[in-house]
Amino acid sequence: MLDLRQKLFLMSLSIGLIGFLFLMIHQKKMKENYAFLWFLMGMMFFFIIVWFEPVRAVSEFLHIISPANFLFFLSLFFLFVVCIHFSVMLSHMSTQIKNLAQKNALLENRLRRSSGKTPRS
Amino acid sequence: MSKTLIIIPAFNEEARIAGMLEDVRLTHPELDVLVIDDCSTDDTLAVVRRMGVDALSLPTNLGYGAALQAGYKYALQEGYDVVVQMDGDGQHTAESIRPLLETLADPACSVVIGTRFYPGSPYRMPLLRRVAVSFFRLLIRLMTGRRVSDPTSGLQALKRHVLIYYVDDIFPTDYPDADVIIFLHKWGLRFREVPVVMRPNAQSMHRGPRVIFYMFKVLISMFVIHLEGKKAKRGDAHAGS
Repeated sequence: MLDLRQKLFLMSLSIGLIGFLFLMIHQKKMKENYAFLWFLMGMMFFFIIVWFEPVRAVSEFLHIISPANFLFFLSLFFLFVVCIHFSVMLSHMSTQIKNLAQKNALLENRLRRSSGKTPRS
Repeated sequence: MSKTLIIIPAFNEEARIAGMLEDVRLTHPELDVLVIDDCSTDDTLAVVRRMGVDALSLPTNLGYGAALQAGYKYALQEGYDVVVQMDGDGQHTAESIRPLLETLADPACSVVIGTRFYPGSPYRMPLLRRVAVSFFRLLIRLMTGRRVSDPTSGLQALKRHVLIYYVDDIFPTDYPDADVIIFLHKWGLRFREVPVVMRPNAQSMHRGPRVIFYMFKVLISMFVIHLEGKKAKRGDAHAGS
């Protein structure tokens, strides 16, 4: 389905993406656990370029007219998964921020009370 | 005598908080008061401090539920036996505190909720909110078998052993309302309602398009808590439940 030129182009993109992820992690701009899904995507992308037959086989099995449609669907589904992953991360961080802010307020209150700036309840 | 703390979360209430605090001070001078300022952008905190009332100042706006929870954490840390929570918008009156505390004195009761809906109550609510309240009443009845007349009341009194649950991350801090009643039922914490007088709130935090978001959040929370089922009680066994 893909000619050599197209394969080489897409493989460079895939390798470039994985390399970019490594750079982000190296520069501490991204944590490893958040890069996991992107690594997975990059490697799957590379795998599909090198060996397209499984995609064609699965498309036929699912009665999808064109393997390209199947790839589009997979890409969209993957993005949904990434968004859910981010929602989970954000929820966790939201709880952490809440606890930190509450602790901050409690400590600040204790400090004010011990320095006599605020009445004891 | 039980050590009692009144906690009042407040956000941008500079116009109303002073009157409310004065009301509480005159009616219950023996009770400690703590205002939790949810990073107000007006002079709420300054007003509270000028009145010599203790305050927690949250460094970022966390919302009503998280501000309340900060108050619970303070109460637990400082060894309070009873906590009364009131809204900072002046809706709740100082006269409502005594009936709450008298009912809470019953060892069989862990939480008392002040209800504004009782026969002969002068309280009036806009239609949309009345529909929402009725809907939550029905859901609570289906989920717990209990009739609750005011599922969204923020006026409550609770005993110390309840704080163990309320300070945990499992407590629903996003708009804690009807879902808290399911939460209490799930943990086997007995609650009662007591009729109280409340002033109508002209500027409810649940208004406009936010009402839809609020209802969605509370509904999801109620179903999640309900589906988790009943749990064994935590911590020390105290008198009552």
